[in-house]
Amino acid sequence: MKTTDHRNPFFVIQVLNRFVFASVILISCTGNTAKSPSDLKTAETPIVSYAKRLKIENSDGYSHIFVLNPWQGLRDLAQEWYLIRSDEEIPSFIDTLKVIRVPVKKVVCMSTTHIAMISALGEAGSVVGFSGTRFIFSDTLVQCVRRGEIREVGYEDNLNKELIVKLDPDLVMVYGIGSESSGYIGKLREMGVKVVYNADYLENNPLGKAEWIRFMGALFCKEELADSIFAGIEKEYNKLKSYISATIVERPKVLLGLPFRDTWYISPGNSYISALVGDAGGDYLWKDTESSVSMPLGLENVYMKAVSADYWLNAGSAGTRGEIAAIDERLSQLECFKTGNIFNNNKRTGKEGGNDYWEGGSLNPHIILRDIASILHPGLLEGNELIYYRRLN
Amino acid sequence: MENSADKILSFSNLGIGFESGKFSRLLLPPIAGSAGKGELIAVIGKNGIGKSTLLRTFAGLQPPLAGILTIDGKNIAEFSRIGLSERIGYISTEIIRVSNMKVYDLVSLGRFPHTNWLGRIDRSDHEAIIDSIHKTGMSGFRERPVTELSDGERQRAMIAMVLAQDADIMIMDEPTAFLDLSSKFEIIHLLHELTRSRGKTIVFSTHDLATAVSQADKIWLLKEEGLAGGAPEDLMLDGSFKTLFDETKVRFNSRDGSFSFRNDEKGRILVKGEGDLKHWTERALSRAGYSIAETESAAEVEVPSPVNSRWKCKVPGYSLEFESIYDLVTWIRRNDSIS
Amino acid sequence: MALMSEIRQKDIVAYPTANRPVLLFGGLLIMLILFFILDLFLGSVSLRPGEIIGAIFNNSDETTRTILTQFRMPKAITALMAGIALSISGLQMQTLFRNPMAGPYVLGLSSGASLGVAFVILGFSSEMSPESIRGFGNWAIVAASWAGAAIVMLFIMVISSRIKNIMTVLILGIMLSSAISAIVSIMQYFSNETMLKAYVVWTMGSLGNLTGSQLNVMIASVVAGVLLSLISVKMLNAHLLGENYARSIGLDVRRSRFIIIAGTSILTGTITAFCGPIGFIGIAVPHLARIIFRTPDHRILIPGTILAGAIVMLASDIVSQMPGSDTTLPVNSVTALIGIPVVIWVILHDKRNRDIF
Repeated sequence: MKTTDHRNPFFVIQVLNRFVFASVILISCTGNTAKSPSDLKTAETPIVSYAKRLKIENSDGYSHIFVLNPWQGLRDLAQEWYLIRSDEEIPSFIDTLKVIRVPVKKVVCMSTTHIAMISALGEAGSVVGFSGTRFIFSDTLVQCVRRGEIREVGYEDNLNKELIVKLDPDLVMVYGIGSESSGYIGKLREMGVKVVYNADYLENNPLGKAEWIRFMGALFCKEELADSIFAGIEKEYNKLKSYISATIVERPKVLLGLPFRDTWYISPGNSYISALVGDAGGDYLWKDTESSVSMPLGLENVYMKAVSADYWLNAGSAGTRGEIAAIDERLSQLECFKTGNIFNNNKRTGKEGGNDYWEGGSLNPHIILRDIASILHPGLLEGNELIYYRRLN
Repeated sequence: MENSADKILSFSNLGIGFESGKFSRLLLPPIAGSAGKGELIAVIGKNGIGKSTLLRTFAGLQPPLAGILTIDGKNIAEFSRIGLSERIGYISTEIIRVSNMKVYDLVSLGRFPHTNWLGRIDRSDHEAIIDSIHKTGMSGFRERPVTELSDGERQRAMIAMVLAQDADIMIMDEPTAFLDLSSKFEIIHLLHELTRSRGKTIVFSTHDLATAVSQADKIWLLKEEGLAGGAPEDLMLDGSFKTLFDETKVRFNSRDGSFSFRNDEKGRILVKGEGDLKHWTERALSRAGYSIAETESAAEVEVPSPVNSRWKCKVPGYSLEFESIYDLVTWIRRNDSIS
Repeated sequence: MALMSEIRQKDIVAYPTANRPVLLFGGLLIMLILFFILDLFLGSVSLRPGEIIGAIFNNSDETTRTILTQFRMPKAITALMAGIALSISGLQMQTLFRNPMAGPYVLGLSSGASLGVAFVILGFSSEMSPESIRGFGNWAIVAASWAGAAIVMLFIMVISSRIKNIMTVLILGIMLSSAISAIVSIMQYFSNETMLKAYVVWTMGSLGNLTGSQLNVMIASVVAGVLLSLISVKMLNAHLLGENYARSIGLDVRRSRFIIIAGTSILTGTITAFCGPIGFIGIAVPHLARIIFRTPDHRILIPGTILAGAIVMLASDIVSQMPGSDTTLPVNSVTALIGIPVVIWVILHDKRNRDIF
């Protein structure tokens, strides 16, 4: 299972539109004669604009996809795929190991983000296996699990490899934790299963994360649908963002996270949530920090800054203020605690802990942005109904 | 007749052994005996017969499996731990190895039954400790770490500890084991002293029969049939000691309690001379396998005298002189056709 | 007695209590106060000494004062208590088992505690949902840790009262530890990252998250445990000779085992419950005390260990703060880094005493 808990993220520097690739104008997936790489035409704009770890190039008859640095700590690794329609021939210069036949019919996924995007394309039926089924939020998918259409495959070293082989998926989509020689992935490959990395959770730009729907679009030959979905998200998000930055008068200070024992794991300034807070018109207390992992800070250090926080968001898995006080009495002395300005992103959660914030929310950064902006600037936006967030009492 | 009332330690029908779970194993048939005040008692017996078990039972470290054991007329089971430790002290062959522990510290532990809850050494305790150290001849070793003592010194330190305990009965399991000869004598002498000057009753086990016989007031001899008790001389005369040895190999001299090995008799030799020279020459020849003739014999050895400083040996066909007993005996062994 | 005349007068006057221990105690006490103050001054947030002194005398801003009173003071007190409790426990275990490598956890207390905490944090993935562990307050962890430790303690007590040979008790304690560790490993295997990380962080030890009522409970327990060990001083000294000799000089061995193990359990169980398992202090500090005081007498070693343990733990806390930088180190790593060289040094350099114990 994987809920992309922000305590565990691996973020890179937030950048918008930084890619410069040679890319080809999308050719429809109706098939064409194969061409050698030198025949590729270069388009003016790259397909992928926000996602830093995804690169899509289109040629006649196939898409050429790069998944870049799919786990923390890498500098220069790209996983390369050629997506070729099932009825097409594979061009001779292409290594067959790097070929994925599209549209894929059966997939196994490891993260709720993955299935949310697949589901948005209407391809929920192609998911045959999932890791951590009890954390799925979406009702339709939960029904699929109940009906046995989506099987539980375990996770990490506990992966039920035999089941996966039996399910015979076209590919298994994983997110990377450590080095590529991680045992279970190697084993799967040995057994003839295609393993594809998905690096969406490493994206620090909210739009960048959502843009991974293009990746799914390419896999299911639904590029147009994916493009239009993303275009909608992009437009809404940017519109909201400009509106906010134009309208607000001040930026309230924001605290994020929850301590455990002696340490706060603080999201750095270049993180996903930090970007959202910034775009929503907030002043994240650690916005000037940069790190590829969450920073373990001492209680004192955090306290020094936290006293000035106006709002407290994303307080771990806390459900009430009482729980927070039970974790550490001193937290109840914070101003934001006393005023009750604590909000957590666990409004849409399932019985067993699945959180839609990490599932559907990956495709709804604009809604999350709206939520946060409504919290930080009450009255700024019409309708104060929070979707993903709720106030803690 | 043993009257337990005036005896300091007394046992009757005593069964000693081990219990494990539901099974109990008696090492010996029921035994009886008693010890009076100021007696030095040696416990003797073959290995494995139960000497250590008996001593541990006396010391209250193991319960008797059967019978009665009384201390000062009171059943041992009725004593509290502390109460018992005020009466009985115990030393085993276990070696104490604690770093930084000085002799004074070790002996002061003997005051355990007498000190307060914190173990504080007050004036009277201190005096008892110093006295015990002095009595065992360890005065110069007071500040010496116990780990740096020789075996003999350590044994004396242990005895000092038990002495400081101020118990009337001292039980010791092989106190002279591992000691060199002079230390052995020192210890036995000390034990003897303690019974005489301090009136301690000391029960100790040993393999050193000669010493036990010469020094102990009483011997408790353990055999498969049970315990034979009495003065060493009593046991000597009634032949109890004979059973300790395989008679075919060892000869026990009931006159002086000494042993000699039985060797094949190769012949008889008459030794002429007197005193130590005669005695030791006879011993050497005896070891070589010859019995000593009382009267005339074909083979003769004459010990050195003021006139002649060598050993003279006259056997049929030879008349030789030797510088030492070693040379004499070596030649005799090589030429053993002496009648 | 007539014999007294044989003994020189000088012998009687020279009492065994020398000056040396008093001087050493004084020195250690001063060091303790120094380190305590230092721990208040040095923390992960850089505060100027002037600010801190001002805060003590109510003469500074709210934040600084809060940091001092709510963060640094409780932390320093916790370090003090933990250092004392674990060191004494280690000393007692080393004496009882006559083993220089024994420590407070030799009877399996930390395993029991970790089992309890594992239940709370990790659960059994299929049966317990994260919802139920959500917001596990400190008290839940403390209670679970204590429950686990108590179960192990009861088990050990029962064994100890039935089995004669203390070495057998030791081995059974170690086996129990291993069995529990195996169970906890299984629970970890079936957990997701978040829960796993939370559990692992617990095992790294933390001194900083005790406040108010928790601090009071901890202090009370440690005081109780220390009192028990003071009562045990004489028994511990007797145990130096081994259980046979101890019995012969009058020690009720079974009762003494009970009291010593009870004292250790209270001390170790409390600290583990509130701070997580903290290693190496219990093993290393008693050796330090022995080297400093050069005596096996627990009348001196117990107070000596109290002082030394507190100092070492405060020092560890200071180091783990990484004063000046924003990050902190887990306290367990620091105690290991300090403790291991001490133990190695003890073994190699203390040539005068071949026998460590």
